[in-house]
Amino acid sequence: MGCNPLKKKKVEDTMVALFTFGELEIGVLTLIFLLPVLAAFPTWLIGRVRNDFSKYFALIISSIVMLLAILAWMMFENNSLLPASLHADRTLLATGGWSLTEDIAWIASIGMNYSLGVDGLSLPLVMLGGFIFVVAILASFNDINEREPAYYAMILLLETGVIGTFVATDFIVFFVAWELVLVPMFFLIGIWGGPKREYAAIYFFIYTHVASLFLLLGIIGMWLQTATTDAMVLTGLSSGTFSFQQMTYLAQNLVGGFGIELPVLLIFLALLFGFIVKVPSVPFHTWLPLAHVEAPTPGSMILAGLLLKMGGYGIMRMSGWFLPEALSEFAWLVAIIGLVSLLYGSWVALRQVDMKSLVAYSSVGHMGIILLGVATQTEAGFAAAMYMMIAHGIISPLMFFVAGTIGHSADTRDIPKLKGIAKQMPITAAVLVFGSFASAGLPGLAGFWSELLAFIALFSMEATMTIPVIGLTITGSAIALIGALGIIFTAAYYLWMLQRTVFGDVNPELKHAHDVSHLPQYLTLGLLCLFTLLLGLFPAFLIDLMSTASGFFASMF
Amino acid sequence: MALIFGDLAFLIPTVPIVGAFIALFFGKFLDKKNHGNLVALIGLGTSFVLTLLVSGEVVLRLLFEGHVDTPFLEEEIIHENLIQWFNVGDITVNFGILVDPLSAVISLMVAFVALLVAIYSRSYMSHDGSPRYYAEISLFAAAMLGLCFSPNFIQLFLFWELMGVCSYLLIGYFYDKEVVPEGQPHPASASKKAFLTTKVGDVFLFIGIILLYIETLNAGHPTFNFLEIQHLLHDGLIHTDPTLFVVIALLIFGGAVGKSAQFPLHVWLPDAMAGPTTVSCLIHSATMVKAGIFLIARSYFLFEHDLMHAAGDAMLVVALIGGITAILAGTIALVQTDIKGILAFSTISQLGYMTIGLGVGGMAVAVFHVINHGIFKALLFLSAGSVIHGSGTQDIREMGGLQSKMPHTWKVMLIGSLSLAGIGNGFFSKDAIILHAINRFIESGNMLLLLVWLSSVITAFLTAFYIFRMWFLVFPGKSRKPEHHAHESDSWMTIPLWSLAIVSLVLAGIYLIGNIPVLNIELLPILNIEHQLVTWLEPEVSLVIENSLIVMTQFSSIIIALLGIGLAYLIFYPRSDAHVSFTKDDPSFLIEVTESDSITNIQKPLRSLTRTIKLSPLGRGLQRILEKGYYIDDLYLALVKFVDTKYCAGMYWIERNVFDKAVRFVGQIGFAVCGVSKWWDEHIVDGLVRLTAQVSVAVCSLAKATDERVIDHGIIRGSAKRVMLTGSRLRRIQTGVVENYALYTLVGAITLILVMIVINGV
Repeated sequence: MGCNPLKKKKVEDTMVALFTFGELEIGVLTLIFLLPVLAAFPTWLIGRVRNDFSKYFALIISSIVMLLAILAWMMFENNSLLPASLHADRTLLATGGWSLTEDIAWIASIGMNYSLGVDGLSLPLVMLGGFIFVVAILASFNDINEREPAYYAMILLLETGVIGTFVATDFIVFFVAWELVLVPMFFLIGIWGGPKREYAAIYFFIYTHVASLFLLLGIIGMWLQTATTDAMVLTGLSSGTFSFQQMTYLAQNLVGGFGIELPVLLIFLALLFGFIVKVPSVPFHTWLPLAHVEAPTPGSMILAGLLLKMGGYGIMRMSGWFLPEALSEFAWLVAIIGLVSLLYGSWVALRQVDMKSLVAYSSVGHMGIILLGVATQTEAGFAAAMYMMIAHGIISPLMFFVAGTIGHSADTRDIPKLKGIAKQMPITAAVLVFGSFASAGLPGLAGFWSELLAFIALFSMEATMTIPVIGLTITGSAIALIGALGIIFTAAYYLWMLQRTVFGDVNPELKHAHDVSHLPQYLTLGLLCLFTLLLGLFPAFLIDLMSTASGFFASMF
Repeated sequence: MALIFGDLAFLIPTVPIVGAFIALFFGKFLDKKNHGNLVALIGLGTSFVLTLLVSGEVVLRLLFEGHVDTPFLEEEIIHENLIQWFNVGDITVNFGILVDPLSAVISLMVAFVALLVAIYSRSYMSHDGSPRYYAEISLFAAAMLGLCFSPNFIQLFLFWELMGVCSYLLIGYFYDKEVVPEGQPHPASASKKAFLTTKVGDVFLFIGIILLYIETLNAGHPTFNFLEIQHLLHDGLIHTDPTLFVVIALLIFGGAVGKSAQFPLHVWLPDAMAGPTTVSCLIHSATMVKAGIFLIARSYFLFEHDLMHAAGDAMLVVALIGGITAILAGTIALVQTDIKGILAFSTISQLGYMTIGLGVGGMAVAVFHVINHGIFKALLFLSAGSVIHGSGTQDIREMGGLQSKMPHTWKVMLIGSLSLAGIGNGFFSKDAIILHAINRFIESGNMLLLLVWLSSVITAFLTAFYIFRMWFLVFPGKSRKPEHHAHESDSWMTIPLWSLAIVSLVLAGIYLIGNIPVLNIELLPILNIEHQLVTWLEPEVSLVIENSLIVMTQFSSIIIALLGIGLAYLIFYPRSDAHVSFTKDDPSFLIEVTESDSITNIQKPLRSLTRTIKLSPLGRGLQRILEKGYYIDDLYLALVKFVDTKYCAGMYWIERNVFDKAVRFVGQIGFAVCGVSKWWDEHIVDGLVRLTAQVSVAVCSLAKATDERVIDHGIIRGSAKRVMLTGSRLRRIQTGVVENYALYTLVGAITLILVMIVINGV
């Protein structure tokens, strides 16, 4: 049967009608952004009818969001499977613009719009977000047994916040989404968490909320920067603006960008602080191990997989798109924070007793690579940071899920109490070994490429970093040579953990421990392992997807 | 003309990788009785056949077609397939296959040994086997094959690390072992040690690769590909500071030091015997440790470049490390009592030889030794496995007299031991390395190289001695533990053994036909493999060695080997037939000489002398040092302990007591501020409010009082009273007497008139 052109046309028309949402001026991003929050209350409601309904409903909603994210990706990539009318406009991407944009005036008098968009930096994160939420909901099936309706409603609310942070192209929308994340996370830790959950929840909330305050100050500062006469001439607006697009335009077209005057530097520092607490980097990381240890396992997965990425995303967006000059000025600071996080995280991880806490500190270390990559101000460095975000976004949920499963099954996550679980829980143990090696940067798995690119970027870094006041100049090579120690320590704490938990003779107290046995658990493990492997074997997929963004990032310096 | 089978090369590593996954997931169902051995057999067998086709073609064509004098590896023989893996900015990484003489030669040996190990495992691992085991050895072999055919540093590094992981999993295969023999590490701990020790080297390699890449970037041709870098170097496009170049070469060598167990990172290899013997065999002969030597051979252009354009310091360091390793491990092997331990240290020592070869400009002879060592060490390890399998012990003190019980094993092990000692196929390569060492010393006049040569000669003697000490203790005489009931292994094990033994003999025969040592006669020059390898691998090198030097070296090598074997014979053969159990405390490791021993006149005084020496304080001390492996292990252990319990623990202390406390402190300040606010609120603000309220109340009270007392009582009620009072007063006036009224009227009228008069102002 040949391809009937008429029939094909009809199919295309239907697709266009389904997905352009043209009349309403609602794009696919709005759907991705708002669908979860709109579904949150119904989830709770039908959960009141029967507990089970809520989880299936949440799974369906999050799957739809993931499919929409894939659709967005296909539109973004101008995939040939889609009709041409659905193809996104990619012309602006190379100059730091966004694609699939939506723009609705909100409070026009102060330049505040409801505007969304994706580019090479945010789209991979949106897809990661869609994926991790599906996996986290699957992981919740066997883990969460009380107050399910409320739990799944919270998860969906969280999804809106997380994805909103990535798709927002207006600082106010961004900030609203950023703050929205705190509320459901607070309840997730505080209600479904471990023994010290209330303390952890409050610690988490207050800490990150204080950081948000600085973030808000920074945002207002940015607005003031766009409200200068020069800037308003360029933007053609009668006030300042919160629009990312406009800020990028100004960063490119103002003479010397936003410059490196004191106010701009202070804005940079305020934003940096706001983001770094979320990343988190030493010395602002103490909330993370606590939150991870106390959070329910799916909460940990989302926390490590996505919430940390919000901080990384913020840093990359701010330093490449808005304030490149300030980054050049503060590259030393970013690099040192990154280096210290990398080493310190792995040192402390070596001494951890709780497996979740160990993985949490390893996250601190790995996120240091992001800062190092950004500090190099090169394309390779950006690619390294981005690859780390996605790779860590898949590997750390895997590790947390395994740690959570072990904790659930063996009643303890304390490394000295676990022994020989390879006998009792062969699949879990195998995945733990796999995940540990992936996290330690084994070539062929996702973690390696960012390590490679980061070190290439550092060694080939031409820009010098001079610490003011003391006048010390540090080079990328020096940072890299010290940072290489981190690779050894990372391997060391993982292998030592494996030796004490997976191997050895079975601890008689763990005889009752049982392996994963439910379909959702298999799916969770399988999906996460699969993508760890795929990202390791086919790096070009991700690197090509973000190539416009990485090219633009490098062009700003 | 391109290679006929070149396009099949990518299948060589791919087939066993696929086989590994099949074995892992479906091994339970396929070949159930043997834990999925069949899958590994098919995978590795296919791989071996493919290797024969691809690499065999390369070797045959090299042998018979002659070669073109191009400045690089013969371009005709090279087959390179590349696809782009990814690209970001300047960085392009390719994935593909590179078939060249070096990869062809090594891959043949690797595929052959791996297949034999898989066959051997069928019987050896019949009790302890599992699908996991076969998956891992398939992957292990595949990683080595993939490494051989890697066209660039990144892909090589990928397989390099994959091999590390496989070795980690395989060394720790018996992870649930409850009791480990005394003096041996637990498999779980040994595997960790192996991975971490090699990881230290890997980090050096990783940095070296990146630095080299950056040099190519500076040269305008950023690349990771071996051939391209070689061209860049040859064309003089890379203008690097010679010192930096030495650093890069040595960083890459650092990777080899880890993987190939060179001093000071050799400590993992002896512990690696915690895994099954078959795994040790793979690690020691075909994969893993050979990867390091292969890496240096692959990136040899760096060292040659350094040699040609600078002082050649990189090569000197390589040679020195090789020399130290060879003699260090050779001496430690003298006091080992574990059969696998002896072989492990002998591997380290032999790897030292290969490194010496690389360090003295004989890359081809090093590769030659890789091949020969691969064959005879596989033979030795598999024989040792057979011995362990048959006798049920690993301790050579508990063996003895196995000759009669293991009719196949003793023969093949003798062939292997002879080869290792320097008589057999091992002779040709080892001798060539020694020859290159002395030749290099004569050329350069560097005294350090003399030491390297000396080390290689002494080690040759030690090797012959310790391997025959082992052989004499294991096979001849009578059993020292007759209750063990040793038996010969079945044919799944003996066939691979004989295959290896025959290959070893055939190789020796071929080499012999090619070039009869000492006499220096080439019966069939085409079979002079050493010479052939030099022309294949290093076409640029034209090394002319004086004939007399060759003859001298070969002659002395044979003498030294015979001396070593002879000494071992005199001291250890035949063991006493008394049933003596050795005690660990007895360092002499020699049994009292009794009359019943059939020993000759020379042996008796020699044994007494040895015993005296060993029992003297100096001898005991030396023995102790050797048994402890020069305390290098203990040193590292102390360092690791320090880092763990002091440094990292200190960091964790900082974490809890500085960072966490700081946050809490800030929190407490917050609370304190809140407390102050509360106090302010309660006492000041609230006070003010209350004060206001009180004032208001007071005012209100006052108002009330005013209201009550003044207005109510005073004015309102007062007015009323007054009215009443006035009324009652006025009542009195109302008398009802008309005269009185008339009087009042009159008084009133007069008053009015008076008032009017006054007002009108009279």
